[in-house]
Amino acid sequence: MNDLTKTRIAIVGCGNIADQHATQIKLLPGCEIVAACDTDELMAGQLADRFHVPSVFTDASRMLREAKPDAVHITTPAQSHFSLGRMCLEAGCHVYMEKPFTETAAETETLLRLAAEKRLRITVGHNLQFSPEAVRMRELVKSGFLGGPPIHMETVQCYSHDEPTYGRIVLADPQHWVRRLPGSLSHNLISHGISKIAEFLIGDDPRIISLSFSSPFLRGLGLTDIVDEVRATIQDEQGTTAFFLFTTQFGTGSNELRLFGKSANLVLDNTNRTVLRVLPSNYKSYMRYFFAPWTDAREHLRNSFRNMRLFAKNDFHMDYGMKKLMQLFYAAVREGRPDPIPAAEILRTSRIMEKIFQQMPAQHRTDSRPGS
Amino acid sequence: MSDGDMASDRGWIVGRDETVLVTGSAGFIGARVVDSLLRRGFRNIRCFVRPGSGNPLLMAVLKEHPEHRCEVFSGNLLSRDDCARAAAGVYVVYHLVAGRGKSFPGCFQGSVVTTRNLLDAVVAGKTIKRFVNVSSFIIYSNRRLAQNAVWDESCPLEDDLEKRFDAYLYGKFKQDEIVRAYQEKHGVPYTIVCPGIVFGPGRKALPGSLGLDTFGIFMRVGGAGRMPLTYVDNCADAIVLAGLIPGVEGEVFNVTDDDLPKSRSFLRQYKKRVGRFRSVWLSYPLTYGLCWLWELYAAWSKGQLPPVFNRRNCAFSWKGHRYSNRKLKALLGWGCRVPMKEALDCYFRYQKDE
Repeated sequence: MNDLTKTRIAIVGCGNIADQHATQIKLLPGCEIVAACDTDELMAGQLADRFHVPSVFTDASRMLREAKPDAVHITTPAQSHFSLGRMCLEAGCHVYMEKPFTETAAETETLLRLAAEKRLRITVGHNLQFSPEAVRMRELVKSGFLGGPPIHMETVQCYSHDEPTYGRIVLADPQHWVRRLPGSLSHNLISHGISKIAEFLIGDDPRIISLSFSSPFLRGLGLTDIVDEVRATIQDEQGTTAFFLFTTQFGTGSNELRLFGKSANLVLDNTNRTVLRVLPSNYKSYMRYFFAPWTDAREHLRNSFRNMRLFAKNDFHMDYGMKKLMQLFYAAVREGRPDPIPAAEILRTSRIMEKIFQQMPAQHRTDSRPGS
Repeated sequence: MSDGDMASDRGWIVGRDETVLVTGSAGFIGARVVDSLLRRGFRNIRCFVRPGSGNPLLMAVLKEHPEHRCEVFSGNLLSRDDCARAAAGVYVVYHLVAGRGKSFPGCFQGSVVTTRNLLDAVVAGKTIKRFVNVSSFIIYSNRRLAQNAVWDESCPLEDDLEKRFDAYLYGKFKQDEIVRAYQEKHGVPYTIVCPGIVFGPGRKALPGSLGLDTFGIFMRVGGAGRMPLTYVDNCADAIVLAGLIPGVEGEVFNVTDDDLPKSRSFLRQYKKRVGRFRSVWLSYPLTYGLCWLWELYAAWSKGQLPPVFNRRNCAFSWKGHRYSNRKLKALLGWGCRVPMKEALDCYFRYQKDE
């Protein structure tokens, strides 16, 4: 494929997240959406109608045969990710998979192996890793700001049941696909937080001790089949540790990652799009209490000005992370550049998630795979 | 209109013992539709509700009518099985469910896919006499309507959904289209009801046609035009009559009350009776210009700011018109059961208590 050829892209699954994909694809130079596919023709039709997509399908295999896309974005419920992903790879298409990548780590491994065998690219929609603040944090870590790799990480991921387009719908529908995932509600959400940690871990088999449960709010509603609270401690082969917290109980809606290193710390805040650098204080005695907060204030101000500058340069879109991830993915597809998310990291994220779900109390674990 | 008047049978297309279905019956308007039907003596009402919520508004209505024989049907309109069971033996459907929010697919699924499933079910059921589709004023475009002109059912529909950029409008517009398509293809007799701004106890937010509270301070826009208000009980009566009166198949009815207040006087009363808050006034031409700039920036920046503020939405919300309910009165014999003064009293009292 050369640069003059447009990359033909299909979207399978035309729900909420597909809109964000279509919006970003439309902005990518050298790419076009050639097909919209959904088991419900109306849903496929509405996406095609609004994004001027020339063909609509209700059957993915027929879409692959007739539309002949180069790449497929899979934005369906997670239960179908593995089968659709395999079908697309076998048809010779690159795959951009929405998170969670698959239901199990074994499925993840199979898809990654198949993609490698067929020399095709595959990635997962962990777009928070490509937000402006995450990119900046990565640059700081690479530049040695922490004094080496992180020694310990802490991530906080908050979620609100009150969100009308998703949260409330999941609670109201006992048959919702999210509630039938092995890790229940948390399965569809925690990959963002886990992937942020997985990026800085080594090896593909970290130790996990986790605690998962239903929040008092859900227990009050009698919805104890839904897991909406996860605490997990993780340790990799080198001894790097991490603590992961997923909760629905914090009113602040934080989404943070803290990296602790030998010489400094970093605080990534996805909610406010900031990265705070924390260095040892040079002030002595009482001066530390009086003036060290000024250093923190200066860091906040820097972030504020940086965000405003990016906005003024028209490089601060709401879906910046997805935009950046897609740019990198299609650079890999079209120009042979490295994968934006290495296969080992995708697998590590899947394995960590699976271990967390395996440690869930039995009444929370579900298995929605056919034949189970 | 007294309860006695409401109970009188005026040659409706269905008898009081025949089954009617109300979707969205646990909602702000839906619960009052059930109340209006019960007041008219309907006995077999199937109230479609979503599982998982306590349905407090509907339960309060049912408590007021202890003799009721309503069936509270818990299900999901995205399930064809649930739709088939809900539509079995039904003569009139009052379809109030709508997809809401900022997501286009979400609104489309909530409004159109649900409607398609329900229409398929009523076609298969073969008993349907009237499908009342509750739409919205939002489907219209007043772009070419002069300020202070009368807005009625002859007002053109929105002709550029992409530029209007409103997910709720997209869902409602396509919902109406599918209802009309089923009439043409399967002969499903329908009426479409387009309420203006429905207000009353149970709805907390200030009506959007007053202004904007997006930027931290309330901005009242315009003020010379009337607000297209309809009190929830009056609106419910209109919806109910659209399903009962013979000879109105294929008609569209706008619903607004009599004696509509201007937004300026509405806000003044609100502040006086509910509580004071700071607000600034923006003239309509200035707001229109700002919306135009926003629209240009959204296009130039490729969506760094989405075009949520645009000239079409600005005109729809704040241009200022007069509103007619003549068709509603002439064809359905509708009248305001709750006069505007009393309706505003109830609304302000509720807002203050809340």
